[in-house]
Amino acid sequence: MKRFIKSFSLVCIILTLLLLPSFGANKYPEPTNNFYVADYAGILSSETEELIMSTSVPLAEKTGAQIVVVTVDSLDGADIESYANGLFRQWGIGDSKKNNGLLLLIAYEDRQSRIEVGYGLEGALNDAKTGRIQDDYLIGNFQAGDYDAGVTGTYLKLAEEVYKEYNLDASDLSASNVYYTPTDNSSSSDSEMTLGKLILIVIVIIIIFLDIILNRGRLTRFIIYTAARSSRSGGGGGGFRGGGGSSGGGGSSRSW
Amino acid sequence: MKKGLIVIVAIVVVIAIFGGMFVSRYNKLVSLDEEVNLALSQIDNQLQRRNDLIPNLVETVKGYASQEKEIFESVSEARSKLIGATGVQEKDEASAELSGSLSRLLAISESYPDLKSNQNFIQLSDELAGTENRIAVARQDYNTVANQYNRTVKQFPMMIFAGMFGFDQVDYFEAQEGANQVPSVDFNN
Repeated sequence: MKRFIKSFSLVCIILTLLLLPSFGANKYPEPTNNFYVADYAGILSSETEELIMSTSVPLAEKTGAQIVVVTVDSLDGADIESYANGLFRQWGIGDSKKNNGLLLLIAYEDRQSRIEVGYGLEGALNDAKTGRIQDDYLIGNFQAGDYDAGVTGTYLKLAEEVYKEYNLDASDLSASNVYYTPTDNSSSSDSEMTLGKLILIVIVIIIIFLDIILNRGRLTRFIIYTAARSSRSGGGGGGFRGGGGSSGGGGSSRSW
Repeated sequence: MKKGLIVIVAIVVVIAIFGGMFVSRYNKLVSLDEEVNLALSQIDNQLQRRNDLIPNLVETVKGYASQEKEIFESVSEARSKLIGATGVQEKDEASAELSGSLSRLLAISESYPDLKSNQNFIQLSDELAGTENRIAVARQDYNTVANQYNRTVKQFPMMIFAGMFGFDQVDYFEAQEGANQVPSVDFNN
């Protein structure tokens, strides 16, 4: 009987480990909780970030189209085309069926920018148009050191093109701004306790219990250690996330 | 009597297991094969798209730099070589060669400021760079599924079925990365 419990607990432990999301080992940064804007280079003001959130969130609610702005310090030697495509696919920008994602990537120290377009928006934004948008709105402002103006102008132009694609009026969207409040509200999702969550918690407690009895708590310590390490890189719980969209490499790049 | 029945049941069970195994493995091979073909046609689409862009681009450049005959020739030569190419490897090499010629074509804009600032030229260059990048992505995607397919075909129980039904290994697109770099165009210097 004791052997059975021991092997059973081992199976439980292995299953739990498999269910844990895999951390690290990724070439690209993880999305932030805000998903639509990730200013890793630290060049954008909070007003710009709020503008992006208050436009992208309702747009995604209405159409599934996701417009994401990411700034990074450096591409770590990769070319911006493959970096943008890899990040686009890893984050799953856009709806998984419509593939209507859009990524504006800024590599600050490499002085390069790219607009990467999901398959589904290639009709609305062909490569030439994305190049033109960067020439008109991004390059000049960036050369003058005004990153907020460059990103805002480019972003709004992109959003306008997506509105047009879906026959939307900008006022349709700004009216439904209630979705987003710019302050941190990470606790709001914990308010409801479903039966499923309860069962999960009970199972976890049983596993920890078995682990402590039969395994001297090695697993529990390991999980706590892993969780503590991964919490530094953020992620998990609440916020917005990608719809699973993909891109075939459409778009254009610039340097300033 | 009873013993005979058991033997028959055992045989039926064995046949059913092997039959089931065969069917599921065969189906897996078929769907992988299909994925490889899809990825290949994805590359062909983009190659075709690039092919369609070239005449316009060449015409535009000729308007400003008609004396650069050598480059025009090398582009048109590489282009017709690619059109005539069959099979993954041949196509891959011809495509890399054409990419090289095209990036030289784009590079001559450095010596012709009027061409460089021509709106039409900028648009065509963006379309071309975008298409080159799509080709690169499609190649990568193809290689990923081709690798999966090849590994499946080579593994033990599968290799018997694969041989029986003519599922051969497929080639990779592996022409020199450097030769197929996306020509980067910087309009702001």
